[in-house]
Amino acid sequence: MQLNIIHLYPDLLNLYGDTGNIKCLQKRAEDRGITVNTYNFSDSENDIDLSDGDLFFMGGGSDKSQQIVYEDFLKYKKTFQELIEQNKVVFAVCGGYQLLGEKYIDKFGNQLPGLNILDYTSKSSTGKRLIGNIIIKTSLDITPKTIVGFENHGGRTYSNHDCLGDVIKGFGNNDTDKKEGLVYKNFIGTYLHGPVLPKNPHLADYLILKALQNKYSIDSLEKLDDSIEMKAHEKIIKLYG
Amino acid sequence: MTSKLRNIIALYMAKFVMFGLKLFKRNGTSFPGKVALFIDNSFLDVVNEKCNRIILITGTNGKTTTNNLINHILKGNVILSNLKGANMINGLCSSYVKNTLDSYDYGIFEVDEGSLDHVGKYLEADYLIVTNFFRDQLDRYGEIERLIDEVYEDIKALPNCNLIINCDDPYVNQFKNKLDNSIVTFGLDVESNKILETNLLLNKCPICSNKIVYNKHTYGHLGDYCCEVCGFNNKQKDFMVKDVKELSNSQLITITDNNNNEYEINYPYIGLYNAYNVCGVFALTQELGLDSKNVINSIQNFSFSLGRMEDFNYKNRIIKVILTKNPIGLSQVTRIISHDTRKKSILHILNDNMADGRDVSWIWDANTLCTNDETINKYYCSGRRSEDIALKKKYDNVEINKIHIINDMYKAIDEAIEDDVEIVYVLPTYTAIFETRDYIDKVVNK
Repeated sequence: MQLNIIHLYPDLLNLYGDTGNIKCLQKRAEDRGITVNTYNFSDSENDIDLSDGDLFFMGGGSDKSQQIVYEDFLKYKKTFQELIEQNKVVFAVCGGYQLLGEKYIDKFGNQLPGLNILDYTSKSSTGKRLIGNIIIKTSLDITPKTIVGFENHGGRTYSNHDCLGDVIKGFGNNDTDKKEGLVYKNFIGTYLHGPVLPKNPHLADYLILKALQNKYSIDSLEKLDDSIEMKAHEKIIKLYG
Repeated sequence: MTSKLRNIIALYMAKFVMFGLKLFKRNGTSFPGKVALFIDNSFLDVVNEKCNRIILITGTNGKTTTNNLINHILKGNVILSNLKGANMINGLCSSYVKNTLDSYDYGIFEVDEGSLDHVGKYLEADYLIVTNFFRDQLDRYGEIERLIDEVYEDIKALPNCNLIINCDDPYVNQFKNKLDNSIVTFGLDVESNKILETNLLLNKCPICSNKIVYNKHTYGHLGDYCCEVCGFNNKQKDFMVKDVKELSNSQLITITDNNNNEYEINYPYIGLYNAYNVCGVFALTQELGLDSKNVINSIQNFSFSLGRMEDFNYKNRIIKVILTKNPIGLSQVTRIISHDTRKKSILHILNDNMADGRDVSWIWDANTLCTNDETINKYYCSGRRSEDIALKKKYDNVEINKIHIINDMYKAIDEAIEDDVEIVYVLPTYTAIFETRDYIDKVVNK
């Protein structure tokens, strides 16, 4: 089996150790004998055909970087939208999550257009940045039900889509509705850093399985020894739950 | 109340608090200053008046070493300083509460990058050394570019301050183009060995946002670079390390200045980041007009006892304590360990207390892969977030049975230092550093 991972703008969107998510997806697939090809897609090296990708990852970056990404990625908006409709797996964290939405409203009320891949909105707030360890209970069909991470965002996201989970501890999408992230088909947006996947191996496997199921007829992945992973997962629940 | 009276009350209240903390054996490097500022919010004014010359040091890495090295060179003068690294305004005030005199030849302070605005308001600095800007504690400062913009604004408010800046860091060197201060630059003209440091290079010019190309690379985003469009570069360095030879327990650093004078310094600590520290300090001493021979002698005799590469001898082995608190520092320490052929064990102590940064994701931005895994006996993982560093080691493809998670740091130290190896590297984050070194000091001198 082969898994093609496309890392979107790794040179510009690389805050908070989020490249650990790519390492995690690679390792967990390779440990099962799956051949992984990872492609970096950026404004200077975008000769990659997006439709070759099975699993896409987009992290967050500084305001300046996100502006560069926005301008470049507009060209690929339609293609990317189609890929999401075709059930391709897309995992977007923080800035990447905000960027794929309809718009971002800054603190002065200016509306900055998003890539409008999906209809949700993020707003800057005069309130404090939402920072800290976060624990959510996910509605995805995975075990355990908890997903842990670290959030650090000024913007608040509002949407009518399904969420990734209910907030047990922390803030999530915004500081009011106690929902975290967004799920649409195989697109998952979230504010969780950590990086989130290494210590949530069940979520990483969910993404890998969905990506492979688009190409191969398989129902499950081989089990791995996740003892250290789950110790790191449970530590956050113990310290901050 | 007159401001003088308020200042005196603040001073004595703070002294009383410091005495109380000492009675209970608590650390008094910060809280007494907080008390003083609560009573007199311009408490630092008096420090400004009493110091003949003021030197500040800011940046992400190297502040404490730089500060201690300058203090060491200027020994014999009356100095007020925050040598232990309490570098926010409370810490600066506490240093004065602790060491109150009528006047000082020098006030030398390391200043947290996020506190420069506050400190700069009161202290009219004669010199400011800017070491580098790396990702550090993003949960406190937010993104690095925003922090640098703030530091830029802070320095703009100090037009008479002479800057001594590390021009190998494009983030720092942009000040040369943007500020009117008198500026002396320092940097390295050596290439480090190839090392896997993904995602750390700067891709975009901080002046015009176009592509930056590196000709040489020392570590992180430091090196010789040039912007393809606006030409922003660091070819001209006022003080330049032109050669570094690593010896077994020291490094031979050759520095040249603008007049092509050459200086050779045998510095007793290894690591390219130390070559930067030495070069920055040497540049400062020449700006101060000190005799270069005496300065070099002094640098060669420097010894540091705050857990920054501090060695302890124990049962025929060396216990080496090195503070690791951000991705670039940890990557550099990994590089040093990878060059060490001795049989060794490594103890990571990873905390997530406020002063460490609550977010431990930074370990994933570091290169922690030791390329000489076969010389490593065990990796001990300790501290509040021991499991997180253990997981990172697993991702470095370390065999699982070599990874030992021991939550209690004292137990972890006890076990690690008994390993049958030649050297044990102990790598604590900030809030563990003092307890770690004091505990090891106690055990080895028992």
